Amino acid sequence: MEDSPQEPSTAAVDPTIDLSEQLNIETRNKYVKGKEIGSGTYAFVYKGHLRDEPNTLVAIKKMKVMENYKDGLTMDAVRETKYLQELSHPNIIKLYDVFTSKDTNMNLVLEFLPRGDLEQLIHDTGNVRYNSADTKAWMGMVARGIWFCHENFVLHRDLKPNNLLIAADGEVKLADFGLARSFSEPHLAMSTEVITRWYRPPELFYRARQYSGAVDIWSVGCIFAELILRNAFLPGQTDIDQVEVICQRIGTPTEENWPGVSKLASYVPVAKDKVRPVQPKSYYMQLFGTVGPFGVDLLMSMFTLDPRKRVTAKGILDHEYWAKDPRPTDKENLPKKGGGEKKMGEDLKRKGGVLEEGKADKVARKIDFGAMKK
Amino acid sequence: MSKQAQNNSASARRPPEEDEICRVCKSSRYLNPNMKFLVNPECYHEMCESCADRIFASGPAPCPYAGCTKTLRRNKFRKQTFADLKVEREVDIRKRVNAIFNKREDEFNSLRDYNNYLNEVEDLTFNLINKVDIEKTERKLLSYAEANRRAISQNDVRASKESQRLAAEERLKKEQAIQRREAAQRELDEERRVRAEGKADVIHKLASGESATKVAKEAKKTVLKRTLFKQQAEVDKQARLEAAAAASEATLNGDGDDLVFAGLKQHVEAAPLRPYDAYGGLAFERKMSNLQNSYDDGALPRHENLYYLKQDPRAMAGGYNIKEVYSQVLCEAFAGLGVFLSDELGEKAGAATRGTGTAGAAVAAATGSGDVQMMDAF
Repeated sequence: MEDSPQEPSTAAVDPTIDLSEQLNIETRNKYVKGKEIGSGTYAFVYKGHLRDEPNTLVAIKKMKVMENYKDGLTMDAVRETKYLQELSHPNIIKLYDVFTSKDTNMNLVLEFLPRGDLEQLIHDTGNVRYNSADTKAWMGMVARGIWFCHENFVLHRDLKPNNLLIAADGEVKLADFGLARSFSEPHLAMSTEVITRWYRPPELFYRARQYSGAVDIWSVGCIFAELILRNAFLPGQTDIDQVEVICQRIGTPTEENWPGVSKLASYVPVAKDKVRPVQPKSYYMQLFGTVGPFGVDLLMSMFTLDPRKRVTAKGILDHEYWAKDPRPTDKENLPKKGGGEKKMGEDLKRKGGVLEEGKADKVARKIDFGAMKK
Repeated sequence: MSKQAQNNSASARRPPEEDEICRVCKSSRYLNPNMKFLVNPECYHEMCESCADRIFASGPAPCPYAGCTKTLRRNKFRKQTFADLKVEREVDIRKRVNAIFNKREDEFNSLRDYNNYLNEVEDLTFNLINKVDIEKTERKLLSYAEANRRAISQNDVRASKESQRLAAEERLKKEQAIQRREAAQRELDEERRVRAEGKADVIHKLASGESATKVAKEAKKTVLKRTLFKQQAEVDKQARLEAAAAASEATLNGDGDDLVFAGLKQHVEAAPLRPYDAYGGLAFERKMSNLQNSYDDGALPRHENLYYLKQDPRAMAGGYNIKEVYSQVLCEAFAGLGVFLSDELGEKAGAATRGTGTAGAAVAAATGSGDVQMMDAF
């Protein structure tokens, strides 16, 4: 640690400072900050360990002080801290502690997840091979994680393969709660500028200000499809293009398949002859047949256009797919790839809701916080 | 070094001339150059081989040393390995203890557990060596050996198989090294021979009156041919070596009846495969509230009234779920009611303060059967 590295915790505490400060110093001294494993515009990530037990590794994410947030912490940091400390589940990254250093920097002590992320595994087609049992195991872990979030009234709002980190034992964990929020208070409009484009559901493109956990389920569907295809299923170039891609691959939203959709703020009516029907099961079987008919059923229910009819997280876990053959691979036997600590550093330093490709994507997405205040 | 220690080491190492005299029959190496000294691990008193034969030929007999009351048997006599009999004795004890406590690190859940085990074993060993609490320690040792007989013999078998395999590997490596060396030597000889032949050929040709340039050209050509041939031979040799290695690997693995598979977790019986639990063993239940299908909130002002939100197609089309709102509100309002702080504190305090914790829980159970105990958390 940069300040007071070797002082024992109790001796360093000055009795004149107040209790919260004392607690902070104590927490800070509990950990030893090691080398930097990633840094971005948003945060630095360090490898660290417990001072008393050097074998217990942690990742320490130090939030940068943002220029335009001089008076306080960034929204992302607040959200991440707020929701992670509430959620304790094997498929959600664990937040051990929070402390400040140099008065202004906030440090999150997170679980150390050294095996990279799901995106690496999906896209390393040359070296990594996996089968439908592996896919099922990963999807099970993702579904459990998001189910737990929703059951505790938390929307993740940035699910994508590179936010799914892999622990040393093979367990997949949801990470990056920088865009998470609690289920909305009624009448309070939520931002629609959330979730990375390829994984964003149609209702957000139509700017529905009231939405539910169904937005995360769409992302889970995209992840499922990507796991099978080993390529993004709905890769739109722009927001407009993304809607077009959804219309093509899933079907055009209309009043018939989604009652009330035309009332949404940014809905653009489609001419009758341009409407594409919702794709039948045979189309999905062709693309995703490797997971079997039950897997395809589940995938289709995640890609339901009407968010009210879309399967819920609990519905996913109750699906027949899990009971059918093949049995999901045990987590110890899942394919691994040594992305290592560097990849974890990269994953954690990222800003939420942004794709990594392309020059323009370096520009952080503008989140419309003003709208939330009404 | 303390005086005590000096005395000890002095008594342990006898002067060399005494080393040559049997203290039982007083015969010396001068008279009997083939004399061998033996000890018995019962009392570690040494005597010459002929004494041991003579005294114990007709069955067990007391040790001939004055003051030693141990009964010895001929078959337990052996040559000592270490000059210092103390060391000899300690090594024997360690051998015996280790044969009983032969657990391995991989049988323990954590390194800490393993270290604790080793510590315990070392305590026992120390007691035996230094004759502290001998009876009690001995009893402990025997009861442990009795209780864990199966595990001990299993580990024993495992260890001996491992050492056999290691020895086999060692042997194989040595053989391969010899083969490689021989092959290299053969090759070198061959090359030398060919070169000599070539030279003789050139001289012969020159002697028989052929033109020098032509001979030189031909010689070059043969050299070229030879290098090509050598390269091919190199490739062949590599393939041959690999095949041999594979074959020897096969013999190593498939050695008749004592088949050993590396990487097998032994004597861990596979648990029967449970059906996959999609929930991962977790379940939520709402004990404290019961979710209704709809609630009458007609008296609330419009901006808080869910009735109006329900009528708003824009909100509904976005997938907003009124029932979830009710669920969340009810959960947040009542979930705390099922939590008894005294119980949780009791659990947290753990074994050390279990008394107070359970007392608190008992109070909670007695008074809080129907209504809720309010405790100030802060």
